[in-house]
Amino acid sequence: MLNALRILLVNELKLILREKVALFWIFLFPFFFMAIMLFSSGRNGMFGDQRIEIVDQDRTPTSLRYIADVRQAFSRHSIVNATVTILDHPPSDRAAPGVVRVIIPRGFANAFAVHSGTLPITVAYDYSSGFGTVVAARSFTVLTARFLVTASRTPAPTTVDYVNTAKYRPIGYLEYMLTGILVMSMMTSGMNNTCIAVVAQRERNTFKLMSCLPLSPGMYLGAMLFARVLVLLIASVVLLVGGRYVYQVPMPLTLSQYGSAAALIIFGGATLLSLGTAMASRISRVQTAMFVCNIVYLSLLFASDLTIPMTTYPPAIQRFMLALPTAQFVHALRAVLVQGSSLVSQAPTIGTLSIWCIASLLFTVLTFRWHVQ
Amino acid sequence: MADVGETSVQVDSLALELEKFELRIDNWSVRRGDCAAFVGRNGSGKTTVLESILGLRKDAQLRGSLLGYRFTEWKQRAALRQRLGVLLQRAGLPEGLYVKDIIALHRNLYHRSSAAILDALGVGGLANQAYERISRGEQQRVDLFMSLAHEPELLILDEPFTGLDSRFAHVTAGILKGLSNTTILMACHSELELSLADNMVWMDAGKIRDSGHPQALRTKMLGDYRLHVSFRTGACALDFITTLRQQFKQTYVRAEGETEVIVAGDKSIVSAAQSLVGEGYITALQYGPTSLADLLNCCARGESALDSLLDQERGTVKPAAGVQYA
Repeated sequence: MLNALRILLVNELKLILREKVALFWIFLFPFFFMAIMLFSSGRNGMFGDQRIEIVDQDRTPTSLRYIADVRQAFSRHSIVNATVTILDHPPSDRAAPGVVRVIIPRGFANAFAVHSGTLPITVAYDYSSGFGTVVAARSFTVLTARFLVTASRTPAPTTVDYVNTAKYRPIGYLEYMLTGILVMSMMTSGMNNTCIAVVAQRERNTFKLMSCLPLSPGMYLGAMLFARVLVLLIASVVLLVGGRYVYQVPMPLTLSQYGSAAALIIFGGATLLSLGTAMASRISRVQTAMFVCNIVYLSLLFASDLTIPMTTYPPAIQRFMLALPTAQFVHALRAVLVQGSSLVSQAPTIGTLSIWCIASLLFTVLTFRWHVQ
Repeated sequence: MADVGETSVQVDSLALELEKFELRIDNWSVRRGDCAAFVGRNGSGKTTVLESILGLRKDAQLRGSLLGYRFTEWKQRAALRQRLGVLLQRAGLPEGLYVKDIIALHRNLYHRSSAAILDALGVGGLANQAYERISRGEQQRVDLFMSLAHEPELLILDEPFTGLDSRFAHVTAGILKGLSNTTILMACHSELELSLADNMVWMDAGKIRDSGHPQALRTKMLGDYRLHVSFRTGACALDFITTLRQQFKQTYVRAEGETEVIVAGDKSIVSAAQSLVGEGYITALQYGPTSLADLLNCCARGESALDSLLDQERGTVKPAAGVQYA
């Protein structure tokens, strides 16, 4: 009995160890996931590593004390961790997205000395940046109030002016999530589902059979893809309408916005389908396809500003992320659906999506195999 | 339209490098309306020949024609394939379809669908069932419907009776016999399938080892008579074979398990073999004509026909000498 159990146990272990995909999920995926989460959220907290730029126009011991307080407040192990830099000569008037710019006005210290009240600290940031940026920026109300009490030893009114540096209307949490989830669902149905369906048909030798029928395999594949475009469109409409009326997502949609969004969804959907087909072009087993799909899906999910704001990532990585088709797609969707941009203004994004789409199709044409020999 | 003439399938040359051997066929043809059956052991190249002819083997170097059209044209011109019916091994229709969807697909692709074949194969009764959920035999009937229902001019069938019960195997045989103007190429492993053939092609390691009408090949390779003897012990069976092979060098001898021996040849050889049999150690003895099943067995087992018996004496008798043909 024990001998049989031992043999069964050894066989099961052999099966697990021979399955490379399972080994990846068991042993490597946790490291992969950890790396992505650390990239997006930083090592010190849920709000990620924020960036604060201080422009000290006062340049007095008081303003330096204020800066020291700021540094301490955002030091490691605090609720919001931030890198604080002093800008002597700001490169531009407007802070980059994801950056909180604090301006200490000239006369800030003098106002203390003569007890004539305080000059307001200006905190400028892009209101549509991520939650970490918002929390860091809004912390200045409390931080400044505490500094004033400590410095003047008497309660003083808190004077912090907040300035929105966003070019367009800020994107709220619900709008951010709805558009992110829309692209996520299109990734699932467009990219992953297409890839797995194509590989499944290859594994079952369906393409082989179809190539013996009076239709071209290309026509069959075309029908497969076109059906998925239709499903994508319907699913997108259902999600947007559901978001608008079930979850009360504030989207002031006009007919032209609907039209622009539909055009973007077709472009984005076609790109995701092309990516899915390209991913499937050489894979012969469904299990392998699922593995590849999961890796690509998770990578795009975390790196495309779908649910985790891109501004929480280091700037060098952000540049790479901006080139991803899903990031381009979701940014354009937010611009059109939430901020009321025109489709024409999204021409660069449509261009990028087209490049991805054509490159994927080209890769597919060059490498696709209908069946395993 | 190309002139089909009397030849439906013309293979001028076919060459394909496989892992174990090179597949090579030269100057082989099938007349219009004939049925050619490829037989041979597993892995001998039967399916590969059919798939090469269908253009499914990218590396195959193939010259020749089907129904007067060059092989390459069949790949390029989808409309030509309306004249073709194909049944492949291990090639499934798309998942999730109902049988009624498949029937509709067939009608739309070929613009004609024989109601008689639909009924005969019992496919209509499966219409509301998902293809994935019906049994292997029922799936085979649906696959056969897809390949036969438009009564094509050329049928390429890879083991068409696999999974069918006896009733539907005979029904399918009846349908194939009824398609008198259809040229059929098939890979087969059953006697019923082979009985439909006008031309049997014995494949062995990628080459045509022999070909001809099955009955003619049966007589040529086996003779018309067979003796099936069951012995009490393997040793008795081995003694019998040893004596037999010393006296009749050209006789076909096959072992079935360790204690059964089949001898085939002309009437005199089989009678002589019968005389060698001592009654005491015999449990059963059958005498009669050779069949296509014997021929299939012979082609499938070839030199290994005595393996099960010779395994007992491995080292004393060379297995390659176990079977010989007249």
